[in-house]
Amino acid sequence: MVTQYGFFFNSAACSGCKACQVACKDRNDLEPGVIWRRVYEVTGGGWEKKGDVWVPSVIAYNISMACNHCEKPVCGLACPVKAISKREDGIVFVDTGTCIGCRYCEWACPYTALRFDVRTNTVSKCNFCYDAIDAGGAPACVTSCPQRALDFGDLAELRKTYGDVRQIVPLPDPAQTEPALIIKPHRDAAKAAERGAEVANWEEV
Amino acid sequence: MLKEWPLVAFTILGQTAVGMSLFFFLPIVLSAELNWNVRSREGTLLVLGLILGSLVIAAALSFFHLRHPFRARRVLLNLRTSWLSREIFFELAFMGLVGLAFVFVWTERAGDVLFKVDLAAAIIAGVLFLVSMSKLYMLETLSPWNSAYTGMSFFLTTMTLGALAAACVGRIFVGPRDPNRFGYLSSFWLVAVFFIMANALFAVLLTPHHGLDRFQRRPSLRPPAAASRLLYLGRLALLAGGFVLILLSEFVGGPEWIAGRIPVLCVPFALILSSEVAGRFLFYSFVPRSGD
Repeated sequence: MVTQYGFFFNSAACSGCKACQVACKDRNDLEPGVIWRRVYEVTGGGWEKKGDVWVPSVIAYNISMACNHCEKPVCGLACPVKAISKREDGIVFVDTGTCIGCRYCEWACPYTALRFDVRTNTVSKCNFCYDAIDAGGAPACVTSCPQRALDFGDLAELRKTYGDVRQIVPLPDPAQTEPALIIKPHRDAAKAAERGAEVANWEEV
Repeated sequence: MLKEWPLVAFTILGQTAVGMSLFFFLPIVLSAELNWNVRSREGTLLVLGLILGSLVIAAALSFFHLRHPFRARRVLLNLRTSWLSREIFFELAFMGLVGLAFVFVWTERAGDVLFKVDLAAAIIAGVLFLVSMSKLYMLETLSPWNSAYTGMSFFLTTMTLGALAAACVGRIFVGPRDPNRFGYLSSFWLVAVFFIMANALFAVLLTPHHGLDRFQRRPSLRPPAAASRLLYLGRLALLAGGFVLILLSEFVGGPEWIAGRIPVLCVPFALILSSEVAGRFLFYSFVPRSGD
């Protein structure tokens, strides 16, 4: 039995098409402005002088990010009414019938996974398409990706297959929440910090 | 940023209440020969009523922050891990103990020892309320707030507004410079002046994005802060205005147009309170909500 579901994201393969974002919104019937899975465009660099020649040092890559169903979910630890709980399979779940709408979890989550939904006046977030998982299927984002940049499964198995990288710029220190996330970094990610990389599409995420 | 007004009101009123209780209760708790009957029943009731009123209004306004206020009865469920639950618990405890002190004085049935024990417990609950209010924002995952700035700014608000409110109450209601009628409260303007200076120095040095110690934004999935320069400068101007008016009111007696109409310390109190409100709105702008 799976004790902790997790996502794998291949940043090297992601083209930033946002099919995952749209599939998630479609499947969960999300209001405009409520985005459970988001695609961040990370850019940095500029020009650098090598000898007498100026060469471009631009870096650019995408990160598809939703709730990482953390092993240490700070959103749940912060929630005063215990509206956020973890299922036996590790999926972190918001009970919108209990949520008081204080939005404290929105601040607590460093992945900004919690989003306020004006329809229910509560927070909401990726639920790992648990109904599809329970029926033996896969999350909508994973099945929709044309590049096969997303995968899901038992976190222990994902680690065996893909390694254990959990942080690239601008993601937070994974020790804070122990995210159930494995990343294959884009080749530019190694130089992102020194070249001042930042998210370039704040209006979209 | 302006959407956070219930939190601004809650934290400012709560901190003022804690500050007032420190300046009002501590001398009573530490005094060896307390006899509150001899001092001033009306004055004590008034101060306790003000603190209680601030806490009740703070709690009432905080409901505007909740989208489902009727579910708030469950808010103490997560005392084990949630600083928000703890903050509310300590606010209720603080409120209850101040309320009990009010009843003691009102009914005149409690002995001095019981009254002192209750006030000491109220001070402890108030301090824990303040600590949990700071810890609430100083989460490891909330890097813009996880710094000494949060705790220090909350502490300075508490001390500045507490001392100034105590001085105002002393000056207005309890009788100026009458040691038998809480006259010592009116001398707290001097303490307030010290904390106003500390507040201004702290704001100039450490305010993220605006202070001399330049804030370095780390790569993050949170949107960049929209920290208003106008709010920052307005806050400093109001602090300076309040500071000058306190000195004027103490050494010159206050401007003529004020004298005789309203007690002079009330005007600087209003300025300093406005400065703290501006500073608190600025504080909440450091962490914008995604999607807003």
